[in-house]
Amino acid sequence: MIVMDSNHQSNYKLSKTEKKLLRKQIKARHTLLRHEGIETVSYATQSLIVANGGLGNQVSRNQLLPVLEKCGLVDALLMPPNKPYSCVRYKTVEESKTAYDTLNGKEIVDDLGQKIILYLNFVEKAQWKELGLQALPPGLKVIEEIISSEDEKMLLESVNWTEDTENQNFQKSLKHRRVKHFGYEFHYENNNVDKDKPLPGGLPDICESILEKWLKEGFIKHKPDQLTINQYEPGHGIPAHIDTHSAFEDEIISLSLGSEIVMDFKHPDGMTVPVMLPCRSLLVMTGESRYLWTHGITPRKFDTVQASKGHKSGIITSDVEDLTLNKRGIRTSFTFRKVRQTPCNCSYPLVCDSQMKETPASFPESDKEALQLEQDYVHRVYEEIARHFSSTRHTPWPHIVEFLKALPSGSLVADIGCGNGKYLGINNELYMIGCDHSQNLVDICRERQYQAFVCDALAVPIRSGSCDACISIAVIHHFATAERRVAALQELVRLLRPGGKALIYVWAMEQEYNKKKSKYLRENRTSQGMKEEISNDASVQELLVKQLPNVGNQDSAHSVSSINDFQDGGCNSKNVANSKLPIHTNRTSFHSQDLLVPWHFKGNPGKDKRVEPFGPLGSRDPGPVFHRYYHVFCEGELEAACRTLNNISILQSYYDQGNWCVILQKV
Amino acid sequence: MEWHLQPRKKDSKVSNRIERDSPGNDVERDHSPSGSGFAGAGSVDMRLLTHNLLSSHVRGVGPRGFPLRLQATEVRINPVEFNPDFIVRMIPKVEWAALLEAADHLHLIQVPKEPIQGYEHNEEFLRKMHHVLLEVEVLEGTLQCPESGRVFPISRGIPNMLLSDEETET
Repeated sequence: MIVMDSNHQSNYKLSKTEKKLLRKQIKARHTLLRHEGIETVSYATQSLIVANGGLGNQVSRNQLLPVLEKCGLVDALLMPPNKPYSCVRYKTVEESKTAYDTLNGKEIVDDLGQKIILYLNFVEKAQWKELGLQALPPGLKVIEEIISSEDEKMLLESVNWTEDTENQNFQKSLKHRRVKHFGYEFHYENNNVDKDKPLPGGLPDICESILEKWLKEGFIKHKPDQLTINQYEPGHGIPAHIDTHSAFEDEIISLSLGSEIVMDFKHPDGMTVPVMLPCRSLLVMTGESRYLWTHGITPRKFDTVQASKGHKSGIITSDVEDLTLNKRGIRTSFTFRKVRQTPCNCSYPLVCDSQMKETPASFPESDKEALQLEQDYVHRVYEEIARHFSSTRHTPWPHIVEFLKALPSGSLVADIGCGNGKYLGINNELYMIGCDHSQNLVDICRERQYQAFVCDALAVPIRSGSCDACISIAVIHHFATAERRVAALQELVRLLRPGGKALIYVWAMEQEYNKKKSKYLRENRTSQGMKEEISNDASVQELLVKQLPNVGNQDSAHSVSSINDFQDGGCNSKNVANSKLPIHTNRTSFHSQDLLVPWHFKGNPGKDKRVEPFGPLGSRDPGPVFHRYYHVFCEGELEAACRTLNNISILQSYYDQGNWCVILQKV
Repeated sequence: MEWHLQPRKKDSKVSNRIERDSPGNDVERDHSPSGSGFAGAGSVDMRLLTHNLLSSHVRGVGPRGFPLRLQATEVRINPVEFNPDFIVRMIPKVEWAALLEAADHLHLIQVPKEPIQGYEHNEEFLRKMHHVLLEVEVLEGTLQCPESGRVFPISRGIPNMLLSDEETET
């Protein structure tokens, strides 16, 4: 096995098998990043991610550990439950390197007797949070044994689950779990309460006295006025959600009775933290854990827990050989919340229904409004979604690669709006520098060993006439006025030396050109990975996911705007000043040139075809959604914009996978 | 759950746990920093060649915004594979005075006042320039506009050249 590390000479000839192994290793790297938010590094460290060697794909500790120990002293082997990977830390970097060199591509046998192949990648030590060091979501607390067994019994017995027509405490028998509300009724259609219609009777007396006690003892800060009792039988769950911001105040508490359970908390970046909630414990969610992370319970009959910790609360991670399955019992939760009487003003506006409602995006009337629109619906969003966004942006587009590879050796090239640096490493005969408005995306470029800095594309701090070439890929469509879009083009041209070339790509309004579907839809054999990329990728741009109406498909109400619609010079921009910007439905054609395109984090049913099999009818999975502003270009529009600059000539103008593209040259 | 635990294919050469076929055009990428081979460390900070391209975009300063005055509190040397052809091509593109000034501020070895005659074949000269242009990285420091005095920070190797809203107001 040859050493594959970053010190490898680029002109070393690799054999076919070595190339294949390297490819698979890189794919593993990408997948880990894309799905798990795990970033691998190209230099040797003490810690390795072992892809395909995890509890989630039936590889047990006693199969993997001996294999790893052959390469050196294992400091720790972490096998997160339900994951198809593990993390191993060796005592020294040398031993870790040995493992990397010898175990990459190694075949082992799993629990079911099947052969699997391991792929190893280095990870930064600091990134891997080991047993106990992986933090609970900020603002989260689990208080154990907050009530006695007697009180637990009493509370459970006090719940009257039978239909009680006299009592107006509505008991809804939902498809799966049983629910009862006190104080205010919770409506699942809009995940909110009706603040004008409190339920008579308020909270049960025994609850009132318990809450008083908790207040006095400082376990909670506020007195709740709403109670929802949920009963989960084994196999029941609740989809991941954030409790509606506008419905309830910050502190949300949940008492677990009858049986313990594992609750999953997910951060928009993709990080998942499984938390054990023991019997008689109180879960307290405040701040980030209440407003930003989703929480949910997977519908299943067994949870994976740590046997040695017993039924203690905390994060389910394992550093010792004692993971076991815990059979679920019937769990009843008492969730207490305080109904909010004023709009929410939390610091997570992009997932806040109060704040998102207050500022509907409208078509800008002035440069100032345009700037604000871009701030709210481009810059802020990219900063929030940077990591996840970057993980969906790893396949360079062939025509762009072609452009870069055709540039003479030693060219100075600027990538304005470089994002995660996807194109900065394509041709190592060039000196490429990238810049982007998003600090978080530029950070990723730096991690990838590219030169990049943070700036505004309308004021690029590069000296005029210094670049042999520039590229602007999927950037200019984020500017909210025609003037700003032209100004961005002007900047590109300013940077070029005479004779220098610029390549510009912008999103096209016409998602079908000459009746040709996108490449990915044309090929019927879409592989699994591509399906996932498509379903995970809210942006139609990247992989051109479209639902083109088939011949005879009567359901489609949308007519695909084809190239013919815009033949007569210019699109009809349907927007008038101050009109609201429409929110685009992903995977359909565009009906407006100026719009907001949703970005969903993975797992949102808005993206996947997967139907939620459990949960109250009508309740969606309200994971965080971010809206990005786009101005999509009509045929000829980009070219026309370029022609307003008088010192250029257009070399090429074409359509590529849902984008309008221009190559221009400075005269 | 994202992971599809599929039954094993007959052809067990292909592991289908982590591995998924990506769209056909997975272009083999060379991860080296542009034009200069591989760097040793995990991340790369601002090089002097990059500094040589940067100019202040504060409104109204125009070409008087170059070069940005470089001050560094944290610098490191990050070895990069020497590629003489690349350096030869870069030399004509460098604004020499700016490079001298920056190198001076970083207390680097004496950089020649101008490219020496026949530099294309002078390995010693080329290696020196290679070192100065590509191997010296600034992690922490500032860039100051010579005309307006505006200071831009370099933090964790990344210059932040964003102007505030007030500064960009027309």
